[in-house]
Amino acid sequence: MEKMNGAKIVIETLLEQGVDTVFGYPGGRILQIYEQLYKYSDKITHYLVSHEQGAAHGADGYSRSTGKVGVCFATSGPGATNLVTGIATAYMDSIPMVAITANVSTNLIGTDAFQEVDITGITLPITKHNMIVRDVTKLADAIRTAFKIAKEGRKGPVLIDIPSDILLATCQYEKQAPLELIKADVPTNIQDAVSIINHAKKPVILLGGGSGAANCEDEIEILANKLNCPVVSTLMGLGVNHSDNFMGIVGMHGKRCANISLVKSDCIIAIGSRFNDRVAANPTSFGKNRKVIHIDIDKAEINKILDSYCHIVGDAKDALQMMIKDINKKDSKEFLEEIEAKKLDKPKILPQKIIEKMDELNPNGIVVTDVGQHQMWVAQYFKFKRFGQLLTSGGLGTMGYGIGAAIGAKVGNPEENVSLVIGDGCFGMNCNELTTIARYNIPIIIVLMNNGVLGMVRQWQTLFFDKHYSATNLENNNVNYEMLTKAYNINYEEVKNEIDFENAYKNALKINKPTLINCIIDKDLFVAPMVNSTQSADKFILE
Amino acid sequence: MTTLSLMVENSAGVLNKVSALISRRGFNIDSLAVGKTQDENISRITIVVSCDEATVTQMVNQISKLYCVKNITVLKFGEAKSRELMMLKVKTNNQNRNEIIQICTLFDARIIEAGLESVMIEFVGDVEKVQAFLALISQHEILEIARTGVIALAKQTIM
Repeated sequence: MEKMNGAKIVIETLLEQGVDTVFGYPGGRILQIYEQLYKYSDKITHYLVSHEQGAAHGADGYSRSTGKVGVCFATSGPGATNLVTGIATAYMDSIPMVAITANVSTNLIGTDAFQEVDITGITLPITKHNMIVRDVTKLADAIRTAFKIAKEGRKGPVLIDIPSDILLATCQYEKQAPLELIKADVPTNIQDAVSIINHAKKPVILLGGGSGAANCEDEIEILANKLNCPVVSTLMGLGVNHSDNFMGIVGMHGKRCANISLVKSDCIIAIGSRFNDRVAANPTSFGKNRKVIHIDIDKAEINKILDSYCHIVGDAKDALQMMIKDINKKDSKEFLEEIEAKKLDKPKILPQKIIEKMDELNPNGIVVTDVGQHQMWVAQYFKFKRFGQLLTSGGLGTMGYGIGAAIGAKVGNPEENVSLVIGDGCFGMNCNELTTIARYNIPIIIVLMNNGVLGMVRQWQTLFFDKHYSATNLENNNVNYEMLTKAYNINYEEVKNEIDFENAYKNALKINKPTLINCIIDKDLFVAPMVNSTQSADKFILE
Repeated sequence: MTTLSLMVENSAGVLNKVSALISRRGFNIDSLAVGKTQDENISRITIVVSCDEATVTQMVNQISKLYCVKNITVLKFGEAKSRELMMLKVKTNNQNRNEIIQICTLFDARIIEAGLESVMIEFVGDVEKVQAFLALISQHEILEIARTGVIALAKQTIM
């Protein structure tokens, strides 16, 4: 038992949780915590970002790539509001994260004091839980609970707001072990699901991000082997399975054969997928003529979008373990062949070749994307070997996610190569974080897909707005990326073809220094296939 | 009509968490009432909704995810006793005063203040009784009305 102030309690409780890395930005109200970070600098490394959004994305990238809970700090007011997009990004993708903000002192709360903002009110809809701590004796437990909530069941971000006088107030502190996580209830309806699967002729396994979060790669492999059926995934589920039967992502920009396998199936085993509109544009047609078995740890996802034929609420690993022993071996060879026949071999465009080259040269490296056309090309053409290898903003589609997340990934995995694929639009959004890369000399390889336009928006304008390219042209910016990177002491290469890219990427992997490879690509390339956003998954606008 | 009875933490911001969830998910509610319970750490929120069963299920599942909600019970029609308190100010004159008093007597409503131009009525009843009372009393001019929203408790289970 030791008496200490709130700020010290924050650091001590973070240490209880095994935290050794935080991302943040200091300011007036959070100074007490930064004072403690100064004293604890041998135990916790703080990464100073350029903007709090980068801290939130950094904690998110750290979390996705290490499986640990990412932590970020921000001061009151603008510091706290700058975290918002990053917290929302983590929330939409169920990423465990703890955000700690300081606020004005208790006596000033509610008075519109300088740099005061109601951050718990603001983040209410984008956190799994949030709290304001008004009593220093409850601070340690609040932080412990935050970590528990972030990790338990369906994961997500938690925000703790601490008024500055609470950081200064003192109380007794006693070290504790992290709270035990409550295990999910025993899954139900197992036998029903088994019977449906055993009677199915054309089953398909659909993997969502939840299947990765549940660490059930092995069980999925056993199930897929038993059924010998097509396996598909959502953007968030990439990496969970990479067997020969893996067909790729489904949905709006899903692989043709992956989408068709869903349409032709008579049973979909959906694991940790929430049938988002980018996956199931038309939930009615998705659920028609086939039995959907929905496995999810979050009861509220059951029948939210799609009325499943059978649902299993619980941990996917538990559920699959209970199911697989009773599932009969099946040979869906004919079905597989039918699907395989739907594969189209089209000549590849440069960005697709670049992604394939990255996969060839660096198959196990972490790949971070931003949002847009390049994101879809990565999802379609990189063969992910494990969950957590791809870091991408799936649910919120946050442009500007990439650089911060890549920093978090590299910091959390110093031994791994981290490549960031990013469009020039996204790059412009948060390139302030190049400062962070330069400050800590973080060797990330930035593959800039530079087409001088907001490619995905332009694609929609081409297809649906009579080529009225309203506000999507970036060419007039005339950004000199070579001079820009020089300013940050970042290695620079410009490439215009596949061979030059290969050399530049090989070199970047070798020198292990922050590098930007500026890939000049055509502005009128399309992400294909593309499915009509209101129709069945095999109604292609672009093949 | 379905009544949801929530036992929630009695702390600042909890009502906000529940009502914000209801609004952002687009659930329509008829009424919401909140008050303390015998346990000083727990408050009860009673929500009345008229929506289909699937929506009720989704609502219950979403609300259950809030960490401040300790327990949620769905009380279907007939499974609970419910009451709403209503206060009304009705315009009166020498011609209609007696009729208003008669309606009040019929419905066990109390006149808690009477003046030359209006009376104030206190009325307690379940949903049906409230509707019936309102149907009759609204034949007269209602000047003001204040309602608490429905509160409810589950009936004792008959063994």
